[in-house]
Amino acid sequence: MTVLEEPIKEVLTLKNYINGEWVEAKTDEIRDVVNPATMKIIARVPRSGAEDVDDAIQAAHEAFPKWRRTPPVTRARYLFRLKTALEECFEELSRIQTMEHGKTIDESRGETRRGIEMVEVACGIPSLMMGYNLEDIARGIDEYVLRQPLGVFGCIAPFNFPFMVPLWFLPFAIATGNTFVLKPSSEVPNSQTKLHEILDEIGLPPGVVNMVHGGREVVSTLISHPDIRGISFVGSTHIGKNIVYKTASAHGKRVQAQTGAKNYMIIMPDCDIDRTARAMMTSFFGNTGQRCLSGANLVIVGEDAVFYNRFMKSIVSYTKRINVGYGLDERVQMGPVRSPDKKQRIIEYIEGAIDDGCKFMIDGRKPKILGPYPDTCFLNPTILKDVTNDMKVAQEEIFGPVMNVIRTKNLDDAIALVHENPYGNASSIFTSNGAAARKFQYEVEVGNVGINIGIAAPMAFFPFSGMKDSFFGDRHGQGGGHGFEGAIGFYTESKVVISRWW
Amino acid sequence: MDTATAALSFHSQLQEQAAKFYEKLAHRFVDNKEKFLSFAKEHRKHQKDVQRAYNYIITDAMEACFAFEGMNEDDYKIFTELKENITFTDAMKLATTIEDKTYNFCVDGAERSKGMLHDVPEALEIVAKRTLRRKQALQSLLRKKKL
Repeated sequence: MTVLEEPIKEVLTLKNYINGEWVEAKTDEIRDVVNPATMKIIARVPRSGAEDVDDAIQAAHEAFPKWRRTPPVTRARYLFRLKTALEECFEELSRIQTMEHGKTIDESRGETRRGIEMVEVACGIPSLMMGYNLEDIARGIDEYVLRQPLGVFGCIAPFNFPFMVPLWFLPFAIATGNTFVLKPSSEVPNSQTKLHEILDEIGLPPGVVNMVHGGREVVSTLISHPDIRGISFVGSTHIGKNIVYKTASAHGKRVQAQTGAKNYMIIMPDCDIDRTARAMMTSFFGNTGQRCLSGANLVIVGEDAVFYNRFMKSIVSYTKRINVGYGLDERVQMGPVRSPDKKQRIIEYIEGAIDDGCKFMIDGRKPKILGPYPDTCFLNPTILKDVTNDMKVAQEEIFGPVMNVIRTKNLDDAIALVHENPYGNASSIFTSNGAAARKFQYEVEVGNVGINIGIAAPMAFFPFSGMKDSFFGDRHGQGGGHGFEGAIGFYTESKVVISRWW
Repeated sequence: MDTATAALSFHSQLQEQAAKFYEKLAHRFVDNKEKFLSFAKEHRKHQKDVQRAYNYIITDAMEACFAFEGMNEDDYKIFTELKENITFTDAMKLATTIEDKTYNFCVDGAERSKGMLHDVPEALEIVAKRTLRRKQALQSLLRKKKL
């Protein structure tokens, strides 16, 4: 079995992409980007300042008038070229993600595919952006709605899906005629750098897309700058709610802040045990638990001890067999977490849970790793039992490979557990009973519902939903048609025209 | 061979080895050169078809890392070395074994990954059917030779 070749051969200091040029950040503060599996430095990333962001916003602002006048069909052609170029670089992009983030190569390829799907959907912009009309709203008077772009949009991206998340926004923003400034996560800036090399190659006019590396200063400039019309954010609830949403909306900007999660997987006693158990592996331990759609609390419904024992035996058996290691090794099913501090935080949650009275079914704190890699960022999966819903471990987002097993009497109680949690991102039910599934989808207060699906990730042509403390704003990311939900609505303004000719 | 990437890399190698085997066969037994070259081409097409199915369907939401749990590489390994003085009959037997192993991999892989990934098991099932067809063609070649 092979360890795939690493595509990043040289440690470079990354540049910003502003106005169609690669420019050095005006800062001396440079940080290392470390591959969390090997702990080797793979790049150096600048902490750009307000001046760099100003340059990018100005370039985007100046590019906007001409770009919005570019016919949608022409804008779509740039995206068709982008799609072709991304397919050509599919494998390289995927391996870069594994190197910068740590996820397995299967997961990285999945992420690349999801990113490309966004571009594919945005290629339909001539149809997606159409307005509507009605003749004779009064005799001889017609009324119609136009969808128009607004100007410059900003995006603040997280570390957990370095390639895909910016593509939830960028293709739709530019397809609708806006211009764009991206701040990638400074922990994982390489795949976005590659993406912008590709955007440069497809010949987009200068200033239509811009990328500024950095941290807080970039964020605070983006969310308060008068020339930014809207902000897309994905990250923690604290930052999304208290900083991005509050500040940006106070400055009159549109905001979509997709934030934290604590997702419940409801297991009914009539589920298909083997398929459900395997789906749980991906749900809880895929992407090393670092995704906002990951399973966090496993809720076993009913008092059937035979079912509980059979199901948990299967879960434990699959979990123990998970190969942990470097994601470029094709045998590996779970990679490291992104950084040592994230690992430490996860361990603290686990130890807190034990102090609260939980017990280990599997203790993943001392990892067994395939291959000769330092254990700095690695954990094995952990399963905790005797968890109750009021415990910190069950309520707060851990963002790591930890499964909390909770038992409950019936489906009503299970749904109540979901509702006790402040988050409302996703939740799934596993059952062979249609009535139970319908009741669950009808009643549960979360944005993304799975029925026999462990990761309820909406496809590019549906909005990525979220409720309660998992979303702040009024238009969700991605998605196309139906009443301009999602991206098209977010990136366009309705203009109503009422016309009469004498 | 638990992950999709591992299973499909193995499949790719399997098809490539088989393709090379038929190319050697075409040189060795020139009476059936065209037939064997067409088999080689078919193996390479299957390699691409399955890879394409994976590349187009793979998403972070699919259970790719666990889709082929429990499959063991050793059960499907093939040996493609042609001895210098191999007879046509023995070569056909060897070819049949290669096709059997390929068929078994595709059937087991499709069964294992069903419900986890969709287009991949479907692609593997198509390959399995064509592998069976090739096996029948090999048997027919052998019968003709005996006549």
